[in-house]
Amino acid sequence: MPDEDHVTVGKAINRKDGIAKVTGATVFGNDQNAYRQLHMKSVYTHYPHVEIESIDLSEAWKVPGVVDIIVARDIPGNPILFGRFPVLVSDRARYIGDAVAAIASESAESAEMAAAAVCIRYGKQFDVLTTVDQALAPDAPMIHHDTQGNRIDYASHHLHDGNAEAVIREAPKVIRHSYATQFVDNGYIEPEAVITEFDPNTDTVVIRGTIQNPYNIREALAKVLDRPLNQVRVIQSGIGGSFGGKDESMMFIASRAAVLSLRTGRPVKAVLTREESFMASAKRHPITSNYEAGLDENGRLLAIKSLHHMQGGAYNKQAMFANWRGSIHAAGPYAIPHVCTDIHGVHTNTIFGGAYRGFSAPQVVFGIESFIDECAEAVGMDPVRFRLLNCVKPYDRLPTGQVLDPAFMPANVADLIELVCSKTDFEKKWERNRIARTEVGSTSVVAGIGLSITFRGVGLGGEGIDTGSATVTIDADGKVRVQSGFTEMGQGLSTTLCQIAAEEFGIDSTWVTWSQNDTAENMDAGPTVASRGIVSGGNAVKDACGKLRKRIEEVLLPKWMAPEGSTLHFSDSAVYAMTPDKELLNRIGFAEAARICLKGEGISLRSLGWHSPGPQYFDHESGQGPAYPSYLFGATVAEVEVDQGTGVIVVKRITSAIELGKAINPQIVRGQFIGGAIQGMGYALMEEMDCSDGYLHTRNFDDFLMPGAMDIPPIDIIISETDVHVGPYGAKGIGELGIEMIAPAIANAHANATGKRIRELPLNLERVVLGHAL
Amino acid sequence: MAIQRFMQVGSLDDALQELSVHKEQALLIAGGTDVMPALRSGLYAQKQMVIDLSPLAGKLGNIRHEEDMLHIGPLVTHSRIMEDPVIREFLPILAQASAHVGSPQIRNRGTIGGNIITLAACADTVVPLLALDAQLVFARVGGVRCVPMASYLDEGETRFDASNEILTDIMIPLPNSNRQGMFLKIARRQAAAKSRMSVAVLTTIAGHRITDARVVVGALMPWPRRVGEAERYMMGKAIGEVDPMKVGALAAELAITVTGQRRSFAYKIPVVQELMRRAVTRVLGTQGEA
Repeated sequence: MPDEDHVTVGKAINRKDGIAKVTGATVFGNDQNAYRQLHMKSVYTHYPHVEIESIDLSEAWKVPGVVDIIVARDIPGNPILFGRFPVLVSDRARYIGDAVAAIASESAESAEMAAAAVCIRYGKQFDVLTTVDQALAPDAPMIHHDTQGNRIDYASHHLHDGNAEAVIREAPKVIRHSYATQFVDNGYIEPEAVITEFDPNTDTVVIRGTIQNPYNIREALAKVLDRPLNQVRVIQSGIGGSFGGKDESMMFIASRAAVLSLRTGRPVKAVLTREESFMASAKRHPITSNYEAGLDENGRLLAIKSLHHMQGGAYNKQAMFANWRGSIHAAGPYAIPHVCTDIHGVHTNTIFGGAYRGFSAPQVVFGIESFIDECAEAVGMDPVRFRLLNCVKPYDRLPTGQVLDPAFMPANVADLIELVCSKTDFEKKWERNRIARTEVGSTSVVAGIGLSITFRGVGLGGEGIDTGSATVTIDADGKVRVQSGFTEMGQGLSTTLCQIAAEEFGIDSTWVTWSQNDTAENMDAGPTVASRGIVSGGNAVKDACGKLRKRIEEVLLPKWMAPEGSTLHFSDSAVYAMTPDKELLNRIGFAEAARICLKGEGISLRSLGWHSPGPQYFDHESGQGPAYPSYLFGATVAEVEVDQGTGVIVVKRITSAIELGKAINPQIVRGQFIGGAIQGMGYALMEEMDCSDGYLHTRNFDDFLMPGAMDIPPIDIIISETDVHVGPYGAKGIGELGIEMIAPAIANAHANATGKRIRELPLNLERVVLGHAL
Repeated sequence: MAIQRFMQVGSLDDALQELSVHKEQALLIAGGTDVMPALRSGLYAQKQMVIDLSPLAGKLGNIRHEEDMLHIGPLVTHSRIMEDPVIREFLPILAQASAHVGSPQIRNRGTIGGNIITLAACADTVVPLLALDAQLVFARVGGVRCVPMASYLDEGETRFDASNEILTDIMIPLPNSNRQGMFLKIARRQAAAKSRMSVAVLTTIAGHRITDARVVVGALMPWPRRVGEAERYMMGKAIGEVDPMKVGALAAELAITVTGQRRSFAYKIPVVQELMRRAVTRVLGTQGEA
């Protein structure tokens, strides 16, 4: 949208990585090779929960080409990664992706043959716990001997405000329902790939690959290799999608490969097959949610009480964070006087949950927004009026005690609801569908329309300290290089950060170049997660640019003998010295200014930018405090056709209105939103992974179906910009908002179409026809 | 992968000769859309050589129209079938089914011969081929044999000798009367997805009576089958006398007789009945109007 205050910010400039990607020139992880590299293959357990007696490597060593084989005792440092993940297991396998050994060989084929030749002698077979109920049963065996009843460490979170239980007991109307979601894979197009190498010149282990969170990997490897952080260097390759996923799985392969590199003195390349990636990478955690609500006669929500269990798998490094986010969002963007939310994480002998776009929001938003529709129905209100009545408004108090101050949190969700509903003619269609479904046969094709709304905490909030780093360099020709501790993985961050630098210096965005991250060059910014690249990354770029502008000003104004109070302005690729009376004193090109500083005065034009909102003081016992510096808001309408005879749901249109502060690049905002919405459709309708007996039966994309081009409907996005002071130019992030409203909007549309409610994802053919899975 | 040799042949005779020498160790490849993933997943561990049939496209990759018989070479791709004017006019259910195979990329490479030979339970083109009374011609060194599609399917393990025979022709009789057909497929997404279920219905009408009926279901039993009871039920009836629900019920009955109750039938049985009802209603509806 037109933006009179800014030149580059707010414009849909082309992506910095666009041409390379569409022409196939981008170098991704598996495109990288090194001189004398070895190839690594991991050797996996054959059983999901079993004692390992011994590992016989003798036949594997006989395979021609094998150079080295490691088992758990060969790990020089800490063999257990954060979240209890073992680099390699030695005495017990707890899920089907556990590896017992890793082989380095001259070719990938020979490594694979050697891996098949490893003979594992198994002992006792333990019970395989594949559901939360099994794992929480009083007599359930312990997957780890030192957890509390198979609960994941630090993953229980509570938000208690008022006295929900008592209020529900007395409430005129009480509604109770349960909802469940499934494991789904991130489904990135490029599987994991890494090359590790020991550089004797600098005594450093260098890791290159498809790594979403380089500082996590650096820290993990420093522990595994027993080396200081400054002797582990992570350099990112091009990344073919990640969505949160390329973290744990990268940790496994990078740590095994790095140990092999140190032992052999040779580069080691490790690339996962899709089958391995499905088995040993993070999935979106399944969550089962039990909701109870008390309402008054007018349909006002008095209290919501909810209990959630997140299925974590055998090991978990994200449930403790994802569940905290879940605890804040589980009651939705509603003004409810009494809220009681409890959420727990549970170990099972299955594939494990981790980060996948939305990070617990897609699960709990499916639960609460389905539940809200059911509450509305129970009190005889339509879903729009019910939400307008109960949703938060400016200056309302969230259950955390946080007050929605419009300067930081516009809370215009009611406006967004009205926008999407008037655009889609929601109420008329909703009523028409309700009547139409009663007038046709039970196998007919029927139309449905569904609404969902959300709020989303910006950044990490009380999860942990939020930081951002950037390094900005101006060269003598006036061209600028932006480096960030954040990762470009397809989301478009490289472009938006360059746009911010261009805006700050008043130069054309083509003058700005981006460098993919290298931990030797940038400060630890933390992980590129939580839609925080634009707030923390963008503020850090702005900070670095501001410092450089000040340096240039401190050189040029004295040089031009500018009177006290003069200022330097940056625009049109030039710098303007203005007197306090707003008179132009001098003007030179931006390149000339850079040359004077660097070559004339010997002033550095590199700056480290930093951003942190500081610690959020949050009481984790009660869930009270300023959970997030701000929130995004959104409302989405899905229109569907349900073929009741076959179970096929076709999504006809998605319409969303979103409040995101400021769109730095509207085209990238749309891309992010649409990408998330399509993933949300897959989550709603078809994606699921079968690990019901501990073995993973969904092994590749022929079984794990994601929406294709033919499935994707028109997606309309209404971007509502607000004047908030959180991120650069008011931006608050967009990466995850697209995904979380889609499944409940589709489920609500299905209910509108058929009069039947499905409370489990996905709404696949069988659930639509039968009401339950096969 | 144990494949040691990749070979391209100059003629069908060469291919048959090589096959007769290497027998079970040889793997024939046409479009490769099934063979390549299967090779990679270790399914053909006993195979040592690949014989690429693509150089034979000049001989085995044509669609020919001879009197009342259409000949489709096994190397003809799904894309060509769905675009062929003769097939679109006279055998539209085959064009419809071909259009449902995989995605454009798969249809551009995948061949009708491959669909028949790999014979997945959900093979899309086999369903109309069965309805259309296709005949398959297999060649071996020193001879050929012609097998009706239905017998090919029913012969199970012995349906053909992969170590000796190559599919060389698919023959389909062309209709000379008022015939209507319909192919319906259900999948978990709108393209590039295996059939969860498919049906084909084909009827010939003379003087408002059904003189010929073909009813086929796919992806319900280990391979696609004609529903003989349903065909007999429809035969000779006037359009208005056919209860489309009955056709579906007979298809469901057959499936239960053939395989016994299966877990997936809770979904598949009501849905196959509904698909049959729709196909029969539309086919007869069209003909009723004509």
